[in-house]
Amino acid sequence: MRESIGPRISVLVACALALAACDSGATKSDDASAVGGSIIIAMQNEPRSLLPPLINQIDEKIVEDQIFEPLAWLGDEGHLDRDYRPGLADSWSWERDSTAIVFHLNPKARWQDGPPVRASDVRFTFGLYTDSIVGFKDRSSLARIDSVTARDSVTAVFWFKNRYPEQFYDAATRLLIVPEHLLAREPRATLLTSAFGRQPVGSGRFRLGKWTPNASIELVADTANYHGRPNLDRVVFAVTTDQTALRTRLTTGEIDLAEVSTPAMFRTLKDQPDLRARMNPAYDYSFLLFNTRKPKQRQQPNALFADIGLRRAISMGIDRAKLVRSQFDSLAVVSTGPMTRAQPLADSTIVTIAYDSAGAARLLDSLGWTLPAGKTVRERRGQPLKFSVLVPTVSANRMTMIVVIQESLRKLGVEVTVDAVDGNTFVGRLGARDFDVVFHGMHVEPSVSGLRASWTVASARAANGLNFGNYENPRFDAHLDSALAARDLASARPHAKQAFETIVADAPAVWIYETRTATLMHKRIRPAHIVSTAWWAGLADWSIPPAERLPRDKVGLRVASR
Amino acid sequence: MASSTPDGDRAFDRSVSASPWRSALGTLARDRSAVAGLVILAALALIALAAPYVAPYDPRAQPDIVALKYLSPTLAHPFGTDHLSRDVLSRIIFGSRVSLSVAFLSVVVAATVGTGYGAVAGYVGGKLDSLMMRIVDALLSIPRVLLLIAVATLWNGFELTGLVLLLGLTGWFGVSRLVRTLVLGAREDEFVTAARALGATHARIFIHHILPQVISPVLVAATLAIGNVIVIEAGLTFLGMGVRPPNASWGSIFYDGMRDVAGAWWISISAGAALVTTVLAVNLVADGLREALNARQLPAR
Amino acid sequence: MRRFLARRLAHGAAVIFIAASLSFLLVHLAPGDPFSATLDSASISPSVKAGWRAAYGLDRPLLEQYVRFLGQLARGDLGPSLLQPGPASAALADAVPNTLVLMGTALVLTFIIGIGVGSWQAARVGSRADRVVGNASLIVASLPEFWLAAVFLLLFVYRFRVFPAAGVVDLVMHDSLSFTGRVIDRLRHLALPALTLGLLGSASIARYQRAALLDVLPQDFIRTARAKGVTDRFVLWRHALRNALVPTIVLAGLSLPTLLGGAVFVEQVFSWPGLGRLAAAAFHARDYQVVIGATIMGAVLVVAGGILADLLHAAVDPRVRAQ
Repeated sequence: MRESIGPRISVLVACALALAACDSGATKSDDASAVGGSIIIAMQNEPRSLLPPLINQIDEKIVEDQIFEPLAWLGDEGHLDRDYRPGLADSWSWERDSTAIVFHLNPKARWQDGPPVRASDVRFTFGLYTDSIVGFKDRSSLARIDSVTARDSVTAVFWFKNRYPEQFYDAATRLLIVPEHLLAREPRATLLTSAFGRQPVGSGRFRLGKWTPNASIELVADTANYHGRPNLDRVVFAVTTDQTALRTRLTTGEIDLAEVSTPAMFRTLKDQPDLRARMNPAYDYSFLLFNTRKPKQRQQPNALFADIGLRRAISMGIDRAKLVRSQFDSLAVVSTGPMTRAQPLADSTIVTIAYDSAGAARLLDSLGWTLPAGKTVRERRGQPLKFSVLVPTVSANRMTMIVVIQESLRKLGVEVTVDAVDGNTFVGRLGARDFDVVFHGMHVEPSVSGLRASWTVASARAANGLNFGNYENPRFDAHLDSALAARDLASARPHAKQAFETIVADAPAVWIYETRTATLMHKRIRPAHIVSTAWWAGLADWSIPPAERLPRDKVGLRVASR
Repeated sequence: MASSTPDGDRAFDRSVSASPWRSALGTLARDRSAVAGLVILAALALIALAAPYVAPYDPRAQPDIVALKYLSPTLAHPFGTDHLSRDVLSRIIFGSRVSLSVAFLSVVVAATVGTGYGAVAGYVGGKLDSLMMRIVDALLSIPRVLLLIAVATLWNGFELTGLVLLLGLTGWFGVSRLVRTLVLGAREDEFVTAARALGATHARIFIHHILPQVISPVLVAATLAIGNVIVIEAGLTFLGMGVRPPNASWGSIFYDGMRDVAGAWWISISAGAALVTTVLAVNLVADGLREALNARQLPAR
Repeated sequence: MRRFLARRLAHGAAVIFIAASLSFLLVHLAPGDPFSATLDSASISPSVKAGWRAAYGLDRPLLEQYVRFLGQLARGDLGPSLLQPGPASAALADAVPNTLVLMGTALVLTFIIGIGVGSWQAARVGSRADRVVGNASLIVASLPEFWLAAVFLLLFVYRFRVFPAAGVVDLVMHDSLSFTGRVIDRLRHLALPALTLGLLGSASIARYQRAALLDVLPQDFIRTARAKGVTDRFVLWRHALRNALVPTIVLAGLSLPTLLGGAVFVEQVFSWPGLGRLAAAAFHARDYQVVIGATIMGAVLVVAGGILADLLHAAVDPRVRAQ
């Protein structure tokens, strides 16, 4: 695999010895020094694999962002057009009329097992992410990058098919660079079960210490890291899938930090004297999506929801403000459309469909859905107005909200049944478009380019497109294209506003709520900086003041790993 | 006592079969804890049947989810309200319908299948019996909860009928073993040998001589099983795999209550108490039945 | 004796074979497969998923997969796990010892508490204390495991911070503790889960033990022993206990499947990384190999427990040994 291992190892040993000699934190952490501390973070879903292209859920990203690095990190404010922090690349420049970006890698960059990070690693990583058999979920987001070449060992060039506002964002932040020398020989079809996923090696400031299945993942500080060692000694991710256990462990101090998304948990925990709450901006919204075509058959219109009047009437019949306020307190706000307020191009001044139960009743009457005497459900030509909503049981928030929505629609004379299924079945039926209405949740990024994959005509017609409701409006597509092709945010804004107004007026969905999560952390933790889109990205710079350390902060780094 | 005439034969049968049942009933009636259990169960069954008239509120109604949620117990709401301002007492009353009927029906399924299977194995005997019992042994050695979780997760989306069938079809193994042993023993009985010598058909032998001896132990086992299944169903729902909304069983109420159990303890406590009371009553009745029916068998030998 | 053991082992092997085949059938008959909706996005193209299926041999005919499965099983290989990177047997090898520790401790607690309480009751049969304890054990026997576990969690972890909430060892401190420190750390984490399971099992053992003792007391050899002049208490404990112990051991062996089932709930509430928790996660993710492996391990545990109970039975009861 690697030639000339001997010299490399002796260099490493020499460095380690030198460091051990001068770093007083080799065995026991010096109380007066700024470094030290052990944080325990709750992990609500155990990762399947820590190989970045295989990412499946957010907890994997949190761990991988510590072990691996992208070429550049998004700034704290989440601006797409400026304020990036260097990662593996310490500088970059544009070339060729902005169809190429040249990244200069930090010459000191090293993998955690020794060899230096090369531009060929960047090229290899791009190849891995874009190989369809690997199954990177967001492969379409890399579609506008034509190729990556290695100009020399520390210079990687990204070539684009055309110019667009988010070129830098796509190239610099989406790829977590992986080592070619450890992954080149792995068969790509079975990467899911490769050993690398269990023992990842990256260039980040934390190394994998020990992964105890079903219990914890321990990351230890990479003391020889070329960026400098992190302030913390270790970060332990404790697997806590049970909500009660999570609450208990946070309260007793067994866990230092957890991201909380349900109002019940937030309410109980925010007043704990030892915890501080930080609200994260919302990048998730939940919505009732109507299927405008017959379930599973795209050729025929849906018996109920092809009718825009019915869709608008149902939107009018749900008092979203009241429901959201009662269930979520400050953890959610009413959603105004397929976006969240944290996105730069979001616009909350657009006209939305307001709650008006009398108006909804009148609209339903005018459509022919009338309430026969003595009955509770509206009928038209003998057919009752009833349908089922597909909801995944894994989302506690949606499971709660659907019961409440069901109740409000009952008052309108609409009968709703809840079709609650497990996660796998949910995704399966979603992909097959086998539903009348689905209570779906979408995670968005600062960029609005995700709208293309979910709401355009092309995605409605594609075999495995993400436009599950089959929404088609060419005018929406046109406005969206103009917004995405604009040169900067200011010129994109009016186009984005028109796009949003079009889609909201068409009511392909009822946009219910945007949820934010709250990060609850122990009061002794000093988060040096928090990136708005990813609170965990700056973990390596967090610290714990020596005066407030707990026994576990003083354990220090062990010389030998188990 | 004339035992050779046909009339006398029937008289003998009657004297053997009638009085032990009555004496068993008598023993049972004198057992105070068993009677207490029976009374509790009868009350629960009545409440379940008359739920719409007994429950103070509509279990699905959410009068005001902002102001009236998570109310602690008061006279108006003896068990408080839940996170959607629904009255917990009414939910428990209606929930008893689901919990009790699922448990009862699945035990009926299990007892029927198990009795049939075990009776065939015990009566036929030989190699077939050996094979059938080996399969049952294998099935018995798979822990039931694992089997239930497996099936519940692999085939998703149960209606209540599916749940009843699932619970029933995973619970008949023990009964079949029991019945097989009983049938095997009963086959060698003097009455059976005599009846066969007199030329009675297999069916008649089975119904008149073997079945009565099987019924009482199966009854005891089935009663115990009801309590068991109620808890298993609640546990499955607790893990998220049992009864789904809009149906609600005690397990669902318990699960809902766990969301904020430190702040709204009354929800889980009341659901748990309903569970424990029912299981306790069932166990008391089963104990009493076992005592009463054991006493019956002694004179008949 | 050896023939008896050989017969039981052969019987056990047959049982495990049937259990393995049944779980294989169960998992493969279910709708969907690990890749039908694993990744949380419907945007993976069907051809890519077909490629994965081929790479893992999931597109072969069922019979061929079954034969390959049997061959692997004979070699002790369960195939790759799709839930965690690495072989399924590794995932199980991590989880099973934790469940064994939990069940073993619970079983010991069940014995000690059950036999102790049952004998204590038998010595005072008919008294008020006997009735009170009898009713209490009836109530305890009716409690659901998850309920008791939740109550313990709330009382002894949340309200009174006596025990830790989850896990097997302290996540950070364990390796830097002394030997005694580490033992105490493990015991502290084991206490509540084992107590939950042990307490529930002990209630029925206590009832059984009491009844068994009361059956044995009037028997002839007890009278003979009494006639020899030993004291009441010695008679009770030495002779009667020995005879009543036998059916209790058998009962404990038979209760292994229920114990394992109860362990699933307890492991869930206390985040104990054992077989039950692994199985629940694997079922959700349709991780075939781990599902089959977990079911087989469950069967192995139960069969082994049964054989052990039989051996104990033979060791304690000379009548069985004579056969």
